[in-house]
Amino acid sequence: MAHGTVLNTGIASVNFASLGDSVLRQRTVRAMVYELALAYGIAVLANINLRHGIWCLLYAMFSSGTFLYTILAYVVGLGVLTLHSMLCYVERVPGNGGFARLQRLLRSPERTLLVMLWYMFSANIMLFAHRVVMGGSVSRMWLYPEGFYGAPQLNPAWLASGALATASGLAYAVHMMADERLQLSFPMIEQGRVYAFKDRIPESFLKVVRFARRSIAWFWPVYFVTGWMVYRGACAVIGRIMRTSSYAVGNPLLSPSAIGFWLYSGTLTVLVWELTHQLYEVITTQPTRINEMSRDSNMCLVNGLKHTGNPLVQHLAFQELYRLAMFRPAQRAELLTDIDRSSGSMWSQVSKECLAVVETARAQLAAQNADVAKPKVDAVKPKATTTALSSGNAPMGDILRRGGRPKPEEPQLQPPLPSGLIGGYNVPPKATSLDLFGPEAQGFEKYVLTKLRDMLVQSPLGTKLLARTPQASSLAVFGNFQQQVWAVRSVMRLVEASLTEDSYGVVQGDLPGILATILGYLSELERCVSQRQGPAVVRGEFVVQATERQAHAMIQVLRNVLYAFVVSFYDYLASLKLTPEVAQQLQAFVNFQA
Amino acid sequence: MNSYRVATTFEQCGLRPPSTESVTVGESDMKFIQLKNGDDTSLLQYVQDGGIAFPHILVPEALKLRTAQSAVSKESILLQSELNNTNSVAGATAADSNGSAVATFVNSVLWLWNIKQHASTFTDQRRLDLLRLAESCMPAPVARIVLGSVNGTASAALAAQMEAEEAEGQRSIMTNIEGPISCIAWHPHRSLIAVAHRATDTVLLYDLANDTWCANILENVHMQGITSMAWQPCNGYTLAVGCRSGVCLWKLLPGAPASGYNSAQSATAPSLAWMSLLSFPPLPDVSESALHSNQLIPRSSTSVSALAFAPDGQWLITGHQTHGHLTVWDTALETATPLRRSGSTSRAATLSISVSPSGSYVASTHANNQLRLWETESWGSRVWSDFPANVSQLVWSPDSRSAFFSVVNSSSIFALAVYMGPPTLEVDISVVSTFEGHATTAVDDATESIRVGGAIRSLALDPTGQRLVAGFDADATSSDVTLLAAYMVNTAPLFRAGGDAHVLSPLGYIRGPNWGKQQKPHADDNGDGQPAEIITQVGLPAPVWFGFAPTFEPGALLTVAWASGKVSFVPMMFNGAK
Repeated sequence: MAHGTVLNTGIASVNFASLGDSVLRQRTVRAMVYELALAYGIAVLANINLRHGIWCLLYAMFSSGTFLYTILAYVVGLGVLTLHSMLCYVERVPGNGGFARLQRLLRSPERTLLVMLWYMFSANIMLFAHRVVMGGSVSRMWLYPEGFYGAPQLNPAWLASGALATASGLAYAVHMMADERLQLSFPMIEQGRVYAFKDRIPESFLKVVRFARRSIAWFWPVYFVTGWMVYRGACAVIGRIMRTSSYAVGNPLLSPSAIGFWLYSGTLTVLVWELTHQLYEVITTQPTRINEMSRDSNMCLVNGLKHTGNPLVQHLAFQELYRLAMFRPAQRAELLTDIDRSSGSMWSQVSKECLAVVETARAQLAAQNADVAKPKVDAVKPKATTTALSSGNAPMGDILRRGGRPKPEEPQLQPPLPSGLIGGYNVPPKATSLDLFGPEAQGFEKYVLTKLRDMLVQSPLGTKLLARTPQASSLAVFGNFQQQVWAVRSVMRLVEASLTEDSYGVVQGDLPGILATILGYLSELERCVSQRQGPAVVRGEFVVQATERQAHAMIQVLRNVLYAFVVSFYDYLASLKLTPEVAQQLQAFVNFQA
Repeated sequence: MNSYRVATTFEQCGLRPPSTESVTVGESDMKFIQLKNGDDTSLLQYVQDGGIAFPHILVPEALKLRTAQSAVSKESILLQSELNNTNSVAGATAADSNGSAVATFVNSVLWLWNIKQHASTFTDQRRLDLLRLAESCMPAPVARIVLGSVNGTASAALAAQMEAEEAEGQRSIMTNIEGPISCIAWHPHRSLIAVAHRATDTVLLYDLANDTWCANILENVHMQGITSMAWQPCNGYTLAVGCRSGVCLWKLLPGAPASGYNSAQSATAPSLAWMSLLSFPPLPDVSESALHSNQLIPRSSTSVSALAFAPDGQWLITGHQTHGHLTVWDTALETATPLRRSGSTSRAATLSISVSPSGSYVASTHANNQLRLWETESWGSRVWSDFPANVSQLVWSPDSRSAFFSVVNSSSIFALAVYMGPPTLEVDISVVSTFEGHATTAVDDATESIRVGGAIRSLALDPTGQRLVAGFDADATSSDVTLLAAYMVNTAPLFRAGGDAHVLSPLGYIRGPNWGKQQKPHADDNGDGQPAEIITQVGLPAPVWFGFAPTFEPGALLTVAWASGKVSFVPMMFNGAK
């Protein structure tokens, strides 16, 4: 559906998920078309040859090398799109420390392995193809000794480019997994997809340049030190299989042009990955108007909010509700006046779904706060030994025991659901508890992880790292952080709008309940922050205070909507029938002391 | 662009400016009350009529600050400003006076410290020279990529370029600022104003309800070169300060102790203040040395020149000093989304940003004479580039359907009328008033000739949309820039075809408090070696910032920061409530 178009004649279905699938399929096609343009642009960039002077760009645009490279980049790009549509997730796995990054790598080893394999493979293919396209001595796999008739020798440049491609692919895959790049980041504002993509390009280029700089800083020194040794080793292995020359064929490892070429080619490869990822994220997270496709748009929206099969679809529904509440007064008013339903008024259904998200988070946080408030018996226990760990009494055993879901015997990839961008969409690991390896651990993977566990827990550092901390469990509450933000802002915006748009007064009766939920969550968050934040440390003129970002951000969101409510309803606050506790909490906002 | 519905002039309405020795107290019955030479008859009459007289606030040129304790963390930079801490300067002085071994030791340490500082300065200077040389040999972006690890120095070259442009007469956000006050921000819901002090790069808070300065003085090593400020609506006491590092987002917790949030003390009591630094692109991690030394932060792509909040406080939009891109921030989540539409060079730097009261539109003006209007649903924009000079900040009417602005070196006031609601950008721009510079006599002294009018520098529109105030630019015509011209506003004719009603009707002049009488050499010194004739003149400070309080029941409350450091409040009573 064209952006900004409101359909007057809709479809009878109110199934948000099925309508969403058709939208996502259209987006798939668009992504493939845009990917082609992207691949062509990068191919032109790859084939610019300054020897052609001012015509170099024109030459690059129509050279055969460009078309070959376009095909290659397109195939690689499609691969990245497919992989990301299978593996990207919407729910956040919070934590940004070094250990949290390691956890993300280990949480789902199949996913990590798949991503690593794909990026290593595609990097090798890209570098190989670029070498073939560009030609020259770099492209020859075998070099013959000059002046002698003899067997060839492996071109060291091949080894270098292969090693670079493998290292680049590995590094990029680790970056994607550890830095949570596979977690879809929903935009704060809505822009056209072209602008949204264009605005991300500079950051993408910066990332790519940073990547190239790091490769210079890390890869090449290591390669120069160990490269020749590795090369001779490889030649020795090849010499066992086939006859190779015993004469020296030179050392192209020290060729500046070859190094420059590899660097250039590697950078372009990373550029293909990075821009494709940005394209995928822009297209997937762009706000939709799925509910407007249905004749019963309100019911369709509620259906989407209730949908639990695909987290992406549910997120899109909440995003749609948020945009409806913020920017579409006509639909907002329609939603507030839609009361003639057997299942209850639309407002009550929408608010129920939004408040359910908040209430779930509040209950989780309240339980965790209560745990923290209890006296810590474990703290006085003697340090666990390896024997104790294997019997399940140690922190590590505790972590694995809390896995939750029963595990199948054979290792298998989770089947993709049919609503992703291309092919499917994988359900993300639930962040209900911050397990080290997650419930997916099974079979061979379980064996490896167990070994790893044993190795880790034998060291004091490992025991310390793997202990379940209060901070870690509180972070798990914010797995659906974005959804919570949309739910809170949407419901409170609808409440504000009800001042003028709620003709039947359906909202007014729910106000005490809504305020109690929001204020209750705020109280739990403040308790969480006060209980868990460590002591401030004086450093020079400054005091260092570590904070929990998600908790602080959510506190800001809640305060913002509560202040907005107080400002809007200031003249009517006295007439609200609030419980004394809620009234007291709200009074702090009225006094601007919250 | 249309040019119709031009208002009648002040002279045609019989309005003449007050003499230089007068000061404006306020507006009552559509007339401005002027005081002169301590004659308080008018003031008495004004008060008897129900007028409110506000005392002036004086901000000194220099502030002697006591120590401030500040805080920084990986995720947010926090500051606690408490004035009652021990004064470290006094401690050092005491050590000096002890003499003998202690004094020798202290002197040795100081000597070593100075040597280290000199060496550090020398090294930095050489590195800067080297990088500038490199940047002169290759395109700036390439240089930034190659030498980008030293973010500050690459930016220093950009800053030098910016300063060179300023020297060439390019319009800059920093021009025309004089006196101790950079800018002022009214709290949207409370009687609290934040005053940015230019010399010390600090922010002072004044509580009008209690008529006193708050104990907190907001200061941080990152907060240098303050260009703009705004309070976040619907979020307690959160103040965004635009500076060279980006946006310093201060969260004040009134009366809160260091370990908690909830308290019910007055806003004037010493309170906890936390600061988060929002910079896009992100600045490198704050180093330990940076926290200890007050090193100068150069302008960079993160430097903010203008900022504004959405009316619901959910997002903040910033413009930058070295490029024309805007950045939209979700202040709760501290995430940034760039809007790259305008130019990427400092010639397109953002001069001002204003958000409409409904939050549906954002207007940004840029140093390349551009005016860009954005709608905030899908962030589409429309641009006007045919202005002869830079456009001043737009002031929106309360219904968000029209806005007023001026153009540098032009004596016209322009109106922008939005004909269709968002997200469409069906807009028309027209000239609604012109105030050509001319000489006239003072209203209370027929012998005194005053030159009024000329190029309009900036405008302010009151939140009810009934009063517009214009400030003038100092130009070759030497108009009296200390005068502000006030208009009555009626935006209805903008949306009516063929109407002959005026959009702006002259109301009167506003004059601020003068410096007092000053002696200075006569300008017509013939250079023959004879001492110049000393003349006595009344010092007239120019307004450096003016704007209206967000709410004022009797009408509108104009706040003017004068170059003398005085902040005056001019109430305009037109709502009938006395």
